[in-house]
Amino acid sequence: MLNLINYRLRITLADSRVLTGQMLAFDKHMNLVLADCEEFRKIKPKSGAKVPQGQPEQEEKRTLGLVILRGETIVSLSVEGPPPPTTDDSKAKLAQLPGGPGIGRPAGRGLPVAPPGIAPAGLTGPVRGVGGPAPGMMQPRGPAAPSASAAPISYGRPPIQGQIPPGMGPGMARPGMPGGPPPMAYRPGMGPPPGMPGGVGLPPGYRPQGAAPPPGMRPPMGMPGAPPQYPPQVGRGGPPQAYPVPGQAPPQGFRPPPQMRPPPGGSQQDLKFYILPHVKGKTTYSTADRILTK
Amino acid sequence: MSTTNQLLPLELIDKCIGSKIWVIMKSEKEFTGILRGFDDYPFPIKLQDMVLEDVIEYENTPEGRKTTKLEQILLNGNNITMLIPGGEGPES
Repeated sequence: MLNLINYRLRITLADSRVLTGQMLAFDKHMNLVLADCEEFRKIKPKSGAKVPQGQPEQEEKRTLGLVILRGETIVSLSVEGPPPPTTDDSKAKLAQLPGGPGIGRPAGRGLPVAPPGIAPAGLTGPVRGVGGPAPGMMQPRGPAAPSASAAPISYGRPPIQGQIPPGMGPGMARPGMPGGPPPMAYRPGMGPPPGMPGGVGLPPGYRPQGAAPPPGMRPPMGMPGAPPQYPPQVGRGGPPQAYPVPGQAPPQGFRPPPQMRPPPGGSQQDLKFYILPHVKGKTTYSTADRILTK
Repeated sequence: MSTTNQLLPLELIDKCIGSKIWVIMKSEKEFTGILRGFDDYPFPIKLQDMVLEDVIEYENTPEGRKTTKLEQILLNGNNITMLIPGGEGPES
């Protein structure tokens, strides 16, 4: 039915009347609204009655105009013609309906009509300061505006992960430690404290064999992501068995942090080093972890 | 073709309340009058009965058209075929 809307239809009714009209609307009961409707009916003279106008069978044509047709009486529908080229005519006829108490008037969707050139309220984008920076901040400025045209200033950021200086171990640069590796004195259990003979001049992370941290020193617990030990330095020339030597007991006073404790039943004699890739944040770097294996 | 400007048939009848309407019945009877109201009972159960005022009833017979004036009628909806809003009747 929706395909037939605005078409001119020829409709046969139950009482053999024929209507032609442009279908403007229909509903679920097949009630129709027909514009420019014309009715054709055959007047059958009753037998024995006086024949009007002298003809035995006369087709009467009436122009009805806009019609609401009950769907109950419709017997058949057929298309008489395509929709007229201008549908505005039918709309104009609908508009010419005698007005009842109800009022129909064109209305928007609750938005007041804004003058041309100005976006109506609700289409102007976010209010200044809400949902984004102020418009001035996003606009390019010329050299006359000194505040925004200054050269970028370096604020001494820590070296970005992945841009580790050459020669430095991959595990040395870690987030939260600006400026590269901390001084050796901060690295408990790794290097000799400053002033210790043999400690000065050694590359960071290098531990001479057999050198032990000061007794009683303990790796801090609160350094996130910081391995308690320095990894074996690849490419630094350090002895591969720097510390601790497998099979050698950890130095006195050393106690592994809780997450590094050997599993139950594990022996401290079997400490081994592995270099494992780790993903922390967005940076990938490798650090040395002590994997305690049986 | 949009449904926004499409007026359903029953909405169109509703707009006719208070104005003149031409009712064509299944039989050879027609009425014109001012539509005062109709019941919007669900269609499959009951057709719209109508209350009309200042009614002229036309009955087409082979002998000619017979007209009757009635002040107010309740028209059973069962026999209505067509409603013509603003229609002045067959004689106009």
